[in-house]
Amino acid sequence: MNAYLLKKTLQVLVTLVGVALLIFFLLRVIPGDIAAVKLLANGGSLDPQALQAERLRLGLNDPLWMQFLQWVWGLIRLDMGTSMWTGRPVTVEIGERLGVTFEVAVLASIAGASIAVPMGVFAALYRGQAQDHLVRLFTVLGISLPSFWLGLLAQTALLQTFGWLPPVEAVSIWKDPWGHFGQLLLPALIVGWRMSAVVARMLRSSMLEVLQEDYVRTAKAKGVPKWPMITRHAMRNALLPAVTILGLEFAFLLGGLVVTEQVFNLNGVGRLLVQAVAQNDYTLTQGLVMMFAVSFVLINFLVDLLYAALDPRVRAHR
Amino acid sequence: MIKIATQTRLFAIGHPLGMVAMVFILLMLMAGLLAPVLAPFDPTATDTSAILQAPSAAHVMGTDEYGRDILSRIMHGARTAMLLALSASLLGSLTGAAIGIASAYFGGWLDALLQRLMDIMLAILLIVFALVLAAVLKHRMVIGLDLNLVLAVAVPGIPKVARVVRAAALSVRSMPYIDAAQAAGYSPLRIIFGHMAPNLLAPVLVLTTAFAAQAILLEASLSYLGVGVVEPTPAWGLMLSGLGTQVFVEAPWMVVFPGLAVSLTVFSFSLLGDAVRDFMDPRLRL
Repeated sequence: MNAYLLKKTLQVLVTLVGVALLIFFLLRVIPGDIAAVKLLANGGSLDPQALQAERLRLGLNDPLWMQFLQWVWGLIRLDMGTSMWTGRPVTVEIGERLGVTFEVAVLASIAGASIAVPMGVFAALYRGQAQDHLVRLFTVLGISLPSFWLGLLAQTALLQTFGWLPPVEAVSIWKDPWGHFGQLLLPALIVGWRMSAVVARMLRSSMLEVLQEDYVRTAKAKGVPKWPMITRHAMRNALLPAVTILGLEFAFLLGGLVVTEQVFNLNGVGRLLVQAVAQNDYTLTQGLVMMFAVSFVLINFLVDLLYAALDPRVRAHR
Repeated sequence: MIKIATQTRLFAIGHPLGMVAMVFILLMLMAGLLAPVLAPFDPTATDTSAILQAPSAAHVMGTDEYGRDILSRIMHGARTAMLLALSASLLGSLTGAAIGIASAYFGGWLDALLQRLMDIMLAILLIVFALVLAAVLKHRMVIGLDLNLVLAVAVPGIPKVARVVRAAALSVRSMPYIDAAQAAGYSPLRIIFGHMAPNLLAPVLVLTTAFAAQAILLEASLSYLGVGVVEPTPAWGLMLSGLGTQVFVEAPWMVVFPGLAVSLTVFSFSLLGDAVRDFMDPRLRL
């Protein structure tokens, strides 16, 4: 187990250093000069002296490798530098927006899991029958419908039926918990649908696999009734891969809500990324990408460890 | 030729939904390719006398706020979407397949290196990677196709293909006929192309179809966010960009038709992918 842990930890470190390198140098090939863009946006003219001063202030005149090392050294101390656009620390910018995204991701995962489990199990039990085909249709639709369109449809349907729309302004959970969740419910359901599609497909195939195992047949033979047999014997093992997928999908959501947040006007990190990219804000963009990568890789790592702890075969294989 | 016809018939009988999806995709492709000839209006021509018109005999799907014909824009949008999705999915899945096969065949340090590279790309999350790439690379139009956008859609999808193909190639690699070919002194290239590739055709085909679905969705999302296709090129995601419930209530045709075009096309590619997988290897569908 220790050798396994060490190997995995090393892989995580290598991956994160790789992400840092890739994203840093990728952003440096952007043709636009942030200093120039910023000066022009402030209504000023392109004064070469001001431009030079701004570049100096943003540290853009240092050699690239020095900028990179400074950035990485900062990352290790949890300091991502300051946003080139607003001048505020990147950690503060991200911290302010992370809450909303996290909440939507959690709600979506709950919604996704509660839809996926019954669907996956039913599809497996009624394999090849009408129920199976219906589930299949539902899951393929879930991964096919673009969230920006679905979001618009759902909002309009809500408006037309109840004459009500979630408020555009963010509502604090402490002042108005209902209004707060009312705002997040629709995006969470839409993202949850997509998520449930992926999880249900996984659960269906792992259920089918487990149902053919000897121990399930033994349970059947000794007269365990159908439902206890399914829930206590089969599902316990079949859920493992589905839970893995759920974990990975959750990790993906922290950065993957880019489009959804745009549609529902949510001030999360996904929208922050779109703004940062549009404004050529290198520091903010690389900070966000790094944050997504770290959470994605860490959740992956935890899922792997959990898997190895629960299933000794995994340890033996690697 | 006869073999293809027989296979197609078998596919149609066994997977009617997949066949319907394939026909829909072909229709979309035709609509896109023939858009310059078939489209009733110029997709970029504004007409101040026909602003926000509901569907009618002249404008079957209505007009937008500049009086542009929606049907024509959807047909030209199909051209944009299909060309981009097909080239991105081919480029992405062939590159991914090459990486996966090289990983599996040579193993050792090359495998370790490629796997770490794929881990790195996966960690930058698909949509985030595509967004950053699209913004960084900007646009480079070559005969009506934005090559840099193709890259932005293709590259983030490579690691997934590489992983699946690597796993499949590892099992092919362990077959006795590969040992035999090696013992006979065949070159690695000959073994890879002559002996391994044909056996990996099925998974690669399935992955390419799924890739195309994802590419359409990704291009539409990027265009919606304002970093994909740019005006005046007609694109489905762009047609929906910036629209709110207000527009939907007052001019639903502006929202419904482009949205249906994206959804049905992605849905068809997904269904086709499923059907092809079942058809190629029924065992894959547990």
